[in-house]
Amino acid sequence: MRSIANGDRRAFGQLYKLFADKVYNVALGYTQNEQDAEEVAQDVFVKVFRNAAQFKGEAKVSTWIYRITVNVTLNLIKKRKRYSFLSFGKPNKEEIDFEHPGILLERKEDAKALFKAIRTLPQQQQTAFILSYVEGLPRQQVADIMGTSLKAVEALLQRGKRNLRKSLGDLYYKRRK
Amino acid sequence: MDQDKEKWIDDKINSLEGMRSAKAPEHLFAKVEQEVFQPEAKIVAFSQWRAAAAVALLFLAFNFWAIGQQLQSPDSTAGQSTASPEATPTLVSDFKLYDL
Repeated sequence: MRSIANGDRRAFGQLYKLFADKVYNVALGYTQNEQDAEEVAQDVFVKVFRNAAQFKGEAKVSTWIYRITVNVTLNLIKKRKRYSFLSFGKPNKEEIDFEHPGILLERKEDAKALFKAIRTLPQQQQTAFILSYVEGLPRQQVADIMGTSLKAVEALLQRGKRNLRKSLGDLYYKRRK
Repeated sequence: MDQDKEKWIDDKINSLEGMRSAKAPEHLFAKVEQEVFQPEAKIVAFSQWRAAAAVALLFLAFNFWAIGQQLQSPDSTAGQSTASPEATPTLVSDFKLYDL
């Protein structure tokens, strides 16, 4: 990180190689839109480069980068919501089926419904769920990224799953009509 | 019926099993590099612009005021140009250079 703070291009390239897919994957899980995820990832790495000198090493580099990713993504989503009233005539994001490129082929249809339900979760539950199940991070790291305790993350995940089941239940009945 | 529903929901919840991470697009690094290593354009703060505009306005106002004062004063050069030659007899007599 010190080399990056000093403007070392090679060190930055190595860091990018290590984290590009992780950052993009988390951003994609949230935004469910490839262009938005790309915008987030670009913004995250620019922030990482410009703030490298402020990294004190109190947390793991990965935790720090994931935290930036979550913040940048949430800001983008907020911005999009603020200006969504201007997109007259365009289809609402909730109406678009998202297909994550990493899902196994035979599960793609099921995952579409799940991602639709993820969008209905409250923000904290959404973050815990995406970091744990879409990115596959250990619970303790999720807690570190969210700045909370392991127990709190487990509770968020439990509530999140309950809410997902409820949303999916509603979807099940809608689908049968 | 309920069993069907529960199975349907379970299938959705378990659909992330075995998933791989999405890959960042190839061109992304070039975009990041361009933004990071390009020299930043110097941005002048709005307060600086305001201060500069205020100084310029003051300067202009002072100029207008000075021109106005000059035009109003009775001995201004602008006034002289319209005055009759009789109004300045001494000056005209001073110009008799070849009167030997």
